[in-house]
Amino acid sequence: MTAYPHGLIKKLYTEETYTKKSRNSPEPYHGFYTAWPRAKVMIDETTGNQTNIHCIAVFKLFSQLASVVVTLMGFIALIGWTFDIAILKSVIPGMTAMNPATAICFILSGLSLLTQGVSASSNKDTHKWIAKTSAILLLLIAMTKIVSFFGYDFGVDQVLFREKLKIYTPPNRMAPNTAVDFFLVGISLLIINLETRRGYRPCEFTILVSFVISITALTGYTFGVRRLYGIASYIPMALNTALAFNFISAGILCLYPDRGMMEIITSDNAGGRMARHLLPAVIGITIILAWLRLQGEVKFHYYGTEFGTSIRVVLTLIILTVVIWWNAHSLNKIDIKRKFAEEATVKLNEELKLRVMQLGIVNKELESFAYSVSHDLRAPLRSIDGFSLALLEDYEDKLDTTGKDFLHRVRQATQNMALLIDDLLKLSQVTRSEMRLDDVDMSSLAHSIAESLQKSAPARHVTFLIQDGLTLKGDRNLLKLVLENLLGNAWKFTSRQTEAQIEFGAKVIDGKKTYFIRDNGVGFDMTYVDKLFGAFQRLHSAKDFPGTGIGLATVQRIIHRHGGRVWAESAGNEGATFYFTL
Amino acid sequence: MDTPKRILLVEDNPDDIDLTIRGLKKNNIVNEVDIVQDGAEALDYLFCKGAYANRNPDDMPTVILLDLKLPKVDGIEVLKRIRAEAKTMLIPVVILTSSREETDLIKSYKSGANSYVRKPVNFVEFSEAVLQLGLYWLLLNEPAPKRS
Repeated sequence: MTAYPHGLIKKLYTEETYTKKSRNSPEPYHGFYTAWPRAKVMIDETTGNQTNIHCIAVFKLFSQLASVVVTLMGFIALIGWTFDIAILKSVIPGMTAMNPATAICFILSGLSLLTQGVSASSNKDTHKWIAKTSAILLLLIAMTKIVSFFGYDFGVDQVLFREKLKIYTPPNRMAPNTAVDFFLVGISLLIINLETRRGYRPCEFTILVSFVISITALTGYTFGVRRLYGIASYIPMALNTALAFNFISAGILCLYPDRGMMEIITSDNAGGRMARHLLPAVIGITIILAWLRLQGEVKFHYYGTEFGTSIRVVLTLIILTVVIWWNAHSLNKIDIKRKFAEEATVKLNEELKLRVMQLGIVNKELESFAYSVSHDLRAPLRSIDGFSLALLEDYEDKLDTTGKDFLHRVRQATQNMALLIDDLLKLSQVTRSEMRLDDVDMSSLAHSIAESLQKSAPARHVTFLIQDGLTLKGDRNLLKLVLENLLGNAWKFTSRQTEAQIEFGAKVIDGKKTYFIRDNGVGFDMTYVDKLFGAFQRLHSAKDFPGTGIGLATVQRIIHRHGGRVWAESAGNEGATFYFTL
Repeated sequence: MDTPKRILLVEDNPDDIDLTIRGLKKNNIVNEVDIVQDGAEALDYLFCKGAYANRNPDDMPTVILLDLKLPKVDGIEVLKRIRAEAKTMLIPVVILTSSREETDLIKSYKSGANSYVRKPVNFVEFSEAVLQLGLYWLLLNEPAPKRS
């Protein structure tokens, strides 16, 4: 079994697919007591095989119908024996009747197959028990009968309707081929769940042998060849028995149509389609044409053997050619579709490659841009600052207070710009740097940041409430930057509070663990909450609270890179709360 | 002490040259400062070639202040060449640059830089940095013995 790149093929056929993750995954359809499957294609991830779910459903349904039909056939024969109705015992009056033990065996096998199918979905022990016990009983009867041919006759087929059996000459008994067939059916039913590691199912082989025996018998009846349904001088297999065997064998084969050999036939790939087109045609044509020929030749004497055979050959040729042509046509259509899809994929792939390359180039450009900003934009600033200071120092006596003030302003502005450049670089680094995922102890990070904030302004009185044991999976450096920015903001905006309080913790909001940083500072106006996380956006004047307006933009980028969400709430002057999830 | 300790400043920006010298002077570091304005010139100076063919090859600077972004041959390349030559491999090299990019830092240390200083925009801070560098590399640090 080859693994196909089924993800691709799946898309081509249909949007509705059912994926089977492992051998034990539930089946998409169980039988007539469950709803018809919605998906069209089932993909088995373990084998890569694609199966047609509707096809599987039809097979399963057939299997269950077959089990019911076989059980009914058994009952009908028993009714026939009870009330002496010949047509119920032997279909055509005067022909061999189904032995009562045979009827019981069919009821047992039908019951076993039916409960087997039901137990696959119900998983109930009683169902499994019934399936197993019926199969074992069936096997016992068959073996007892087989043993009788070697001289150890226990008369297992003479227990029911003992007197009525004797009316026939020879007395009605179970045929040897029937006994062997039941033996095979019993074995198959017992090992129906057995599957080798390579996906072979032994029960399929045993049931195929039984199939061959019963088909031979049925063919014998069709063409009137006794040798095919009766062995030596033993009583032959009855017509309804042969029919019932065909049903039960087909039913057993169709119980798990997506496994073993049946997988090939129900596959949605080209091979499966071909098998489903050709098999019925070949089987049907062979039997029907042969029967028609014999009818015309032997029964009604319309023509002789040579003529009959010639006509049969011609008809077979014509019909098989048409079937093969039709099959080739549909396979070609699939092939063309696949080739188009392949071409489209190749094209898509090339486009993707180009995009990736372009992105790589853009990324490189961005990097060199950031580098230029870092290096070239700072150099002139240093000159402006340095020479302004040089002017202040060397030409102090030549400058009046206004002149000196101007120079101070120049220096202040350059320093602001230097800060801005640094923050911009940090922001760009957040998106460019590689992420290293780790378990990050957020609580201890928050503690150390709080400590350094406290050290920067020892005079301030700020209470930090930090929840312990908060860990997150993420990039340590980036998450540290998040906390630094959020705690730094809280610190900054509580600077006017005499009793400032900053809280860091986590709670569950809408089923997701959400981290929050709450302060009792000046807060912000909720009207502008959309602007909060934009770069260079500030909701307070630089005079009141200094800053570049990049901190929260950085925070948002980091949270987004982690696949999380960040938002904020504030009730005017009662402080602000920042939330984030990862 | 046979020869006076000298500094080699490799810097292409004339403003930065002036500011560095001003910083040194302000901090009373009077050692001689040799200035080269691009990477190729720096290599000529160190290996006594081209315009510096007549320089005494035994007279090597005590410390090299090296900018990274330089015309012709960039700072990292200069550093690698310094480390590759027996004559210059033991001279302390301080990277003095505007960049604080992670890649620059890693490349510099990998190529054998002894120190990495980012030039602050604020001249007061810049001057302080120059003072620290001078004190450390010219006075405190013990250079490798000169080969004769």
